[in-house]
Amino acid sequence: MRVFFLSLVLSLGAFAHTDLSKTIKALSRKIAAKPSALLYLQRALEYRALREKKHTIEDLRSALKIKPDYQTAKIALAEEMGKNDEALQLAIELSQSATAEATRLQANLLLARIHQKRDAHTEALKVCEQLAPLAAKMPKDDTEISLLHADILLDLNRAGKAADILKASWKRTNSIVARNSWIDTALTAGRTKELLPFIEHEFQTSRLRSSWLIRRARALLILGKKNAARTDLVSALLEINPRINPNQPDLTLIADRGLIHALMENPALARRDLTTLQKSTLPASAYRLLSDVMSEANEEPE
Amino acid sequence: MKALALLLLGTTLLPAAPPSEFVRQPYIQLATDSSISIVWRTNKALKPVVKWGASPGQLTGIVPDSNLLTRAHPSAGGKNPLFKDAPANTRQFEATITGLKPQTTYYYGIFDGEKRITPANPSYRFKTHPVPGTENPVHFWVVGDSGTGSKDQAAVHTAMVNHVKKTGRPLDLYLHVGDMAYTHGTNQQFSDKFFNMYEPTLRHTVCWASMGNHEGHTSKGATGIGPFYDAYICPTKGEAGGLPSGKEAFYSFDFGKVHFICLDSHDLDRRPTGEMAQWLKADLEKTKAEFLVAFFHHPPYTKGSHDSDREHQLIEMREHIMPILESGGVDLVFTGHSHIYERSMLHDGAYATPTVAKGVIFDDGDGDPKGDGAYRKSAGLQPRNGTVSVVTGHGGTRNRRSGSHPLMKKIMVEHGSCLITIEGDTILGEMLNSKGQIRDTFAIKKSGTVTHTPIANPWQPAPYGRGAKKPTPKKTSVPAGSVELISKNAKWSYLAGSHPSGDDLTWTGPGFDASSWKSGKAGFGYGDNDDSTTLDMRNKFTTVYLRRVFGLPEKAKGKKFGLLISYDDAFIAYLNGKEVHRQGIDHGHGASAIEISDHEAGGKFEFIPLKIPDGLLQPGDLNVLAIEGHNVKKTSSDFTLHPALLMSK
Repeated sequence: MRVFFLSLVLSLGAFAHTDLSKTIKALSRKIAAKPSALLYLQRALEYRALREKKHTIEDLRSALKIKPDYQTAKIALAEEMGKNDEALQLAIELSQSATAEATRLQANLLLARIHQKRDAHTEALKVCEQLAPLAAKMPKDDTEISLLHADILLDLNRAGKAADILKASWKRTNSIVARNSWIDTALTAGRTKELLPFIEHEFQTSRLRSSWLIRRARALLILGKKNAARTDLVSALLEINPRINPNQPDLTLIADRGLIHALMENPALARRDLTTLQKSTLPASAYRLLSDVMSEANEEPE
Repeated sequence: MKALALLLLGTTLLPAAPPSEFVRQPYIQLATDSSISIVWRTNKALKPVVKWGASPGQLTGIVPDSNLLTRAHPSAGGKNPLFKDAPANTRQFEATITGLKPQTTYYYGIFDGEKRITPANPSYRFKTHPVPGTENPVHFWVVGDSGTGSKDQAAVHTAMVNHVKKTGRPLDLYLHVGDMAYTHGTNQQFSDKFFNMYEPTLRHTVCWASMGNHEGHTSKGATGIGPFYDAYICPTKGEAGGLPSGKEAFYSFDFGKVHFICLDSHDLDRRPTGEMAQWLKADLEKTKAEFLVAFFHHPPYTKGSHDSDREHQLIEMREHIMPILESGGVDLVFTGHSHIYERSMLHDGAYATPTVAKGVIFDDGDGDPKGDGAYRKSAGLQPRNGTVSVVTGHGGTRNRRSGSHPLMKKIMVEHGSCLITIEGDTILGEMLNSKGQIRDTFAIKKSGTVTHTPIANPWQPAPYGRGAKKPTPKKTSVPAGSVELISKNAKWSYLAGSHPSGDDLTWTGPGFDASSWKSGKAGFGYGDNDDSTTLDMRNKFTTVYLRRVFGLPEKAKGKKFGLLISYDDAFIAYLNGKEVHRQGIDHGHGASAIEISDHEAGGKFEFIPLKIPDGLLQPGDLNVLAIEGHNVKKTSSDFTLHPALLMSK
């Protein structure tokens, strides 16, 4: 859920026409002859493409020494720093200093995300709520803002409000991700009536049905229909297992399978999948439903 | 119908000269089974009118004003302004025609009020897609990294146009895998290096594009703003099949039973939590197509001008996106970015970094129906049933190879593009080089139920690049009791100083007439005083062709065969028209053989066992051994080609 603010940094990265090492060598020669903030930024982004974090940070700092108000370098550096104090400070500076609306929007998205990473959910929400009027002025509405906003609301256990934001986003943009997130979040909020027709239709018209079987099972559990829910979950498991490569699994399917086990009250199997996900590089929001269901079942996630 | 097709093809090759009223000539976009969009640019105001109909002279339909959008520079105001780098007086017109019949050819004309500004020429046409899910063959062109405006880019396009004329099979669509407007994807670079270069094709064939890193200098996937997004109209609402993405950066569309997925590998979150991956998963769950083709810019597997084991965009596409695609049943993945042609074996689950072939290859054959046979997959879309990955970043910029990727079966460092046909239960892929030669052929046949087991130690391409050690040929001794089918001092037909006539490899087969060739006794060569037939080839030519008809006894079934050969520097051997061994030549054959290694004969003979498919050799006197010998360079001090053919128990 970080597409929008990541885009500024990612889109500036890895423009090399050919081998990145050669590009870095060429940039190093130019820097040795006549250093500039732009050259340091360019080299930093090539290092970033090669996942050389130390060199990336060094070059971004060098760029900012030459040009202290270089917003692009600040955004890139804040992104590299993750959630530490320096990242937060950079994002605050950016959100206060940016004058162009697009840059202000990106800076605030970055700030909201850093607050979220630091578990400062109330601050994250405050920033996100200020984004709505800014986003409305942009030429194209971006689902990512709504997805982030909803994610922060879920951190604060406000699933109902999150579902409303996602539904409105879906209606505006047609994004199927917004729609599916709305359905998942509305189920978390305990709603079923409005959702069941969508779930039923998608179940009937999809080739692979496990996602919709899980959603229908969640709705059936809310309605107290435990046996029917179990039937759906078993069917979902039968479909998912052959799709999973045991050596190199699709982690989105591991999250689905873990959720099935958790909903079927198989805590050991659910925990196995949760552990796999926790050991991966995925953020916790990728398996929030699984974690929540296990927490509700007094099965403390690690 | 065929006559009409040929007429249309003829007009493709002889298009009307582009009218001068346009600064960007008309091109078509966003084809569905019932609609199409036509886009063009001028540098002055006009009253746009678009008419369409069943023939160029009978344009009975007219696009209503409500389906006409005029876009201009931001300074001019208006809805959906163009990116700021467009000249201030630029107007882009976008007309959408709706209510069309599926799988039907229509013609269009663009007018300024009453004045027709496109000629009444049948090349201004479009064909609607078939209804999703219906049985219809599809023939499409795939190009990557082409946007240089160079003669190489033009040659690749011309080769495709000529091939289409030769085969009589028009394109249904065109995929571009990014880097179409070097170096910064500006409006002007789009006009000069994409639209002007492909104009005759673009007026009647939709290009569906994924954004490359060079377009990413000026266009942003998250916002959908920039010259790339000005140029293309991509489906965001699921209007061409597939699920709505809400963004032009990633989308899907259907053509009959084929589902196409376009992703943005450059500037969007590539992780499974990202919006793109979430949409992809949902889209794959929904589609009921029988074939699945994905395309994006950054290759998950390459050792061309980029390295997929080192660069994070490539690594993330492999580690995060490929598992979703393969668990959804993808058949083919096209990418670019790396300036090379690389085509994989049939693989699944190759997500590790660095990539290794062990345990992830289902079929290590060449996939060629005339070679090892087509790759096999189950009918329909079955999860994890095998993928063929193709890097087609050789569309016009300078090519480069840095190594041998372990998944690749074919690696070629030459300009070209891919032509794909999906018909019945088979996907047929061909690599067409800029000279118009088919340089690689592979097929995927999808029928019944096919269960694959990964090969523990699959075939591997020869090492390449700095530090790569050439494999030392295993010394094999001549089997006891071997008999000579062709003796060391046999007479051969040979061709020296020119290349064989006829198409491609016909000279290697039994039916070829070699009566005009010379005759000589083995060995052939110069410079080392051991040749029976001395060739005057130093500083003149590097290649010599030999043919010899030989007899095979009735009781040859189950016997083993081998070459006993002295060679300097390299050779390819063929039996009855099929390549059975190559030594020291990485790619190509004949005049197009490249990457030739040197080898000193030293007066020694090596025994090389041959793997011969059942039924290739026939009892009787009509079998042919053909050998092409290559010297590394014209100035070499010597050359030797001295073969014999042995048979043993």
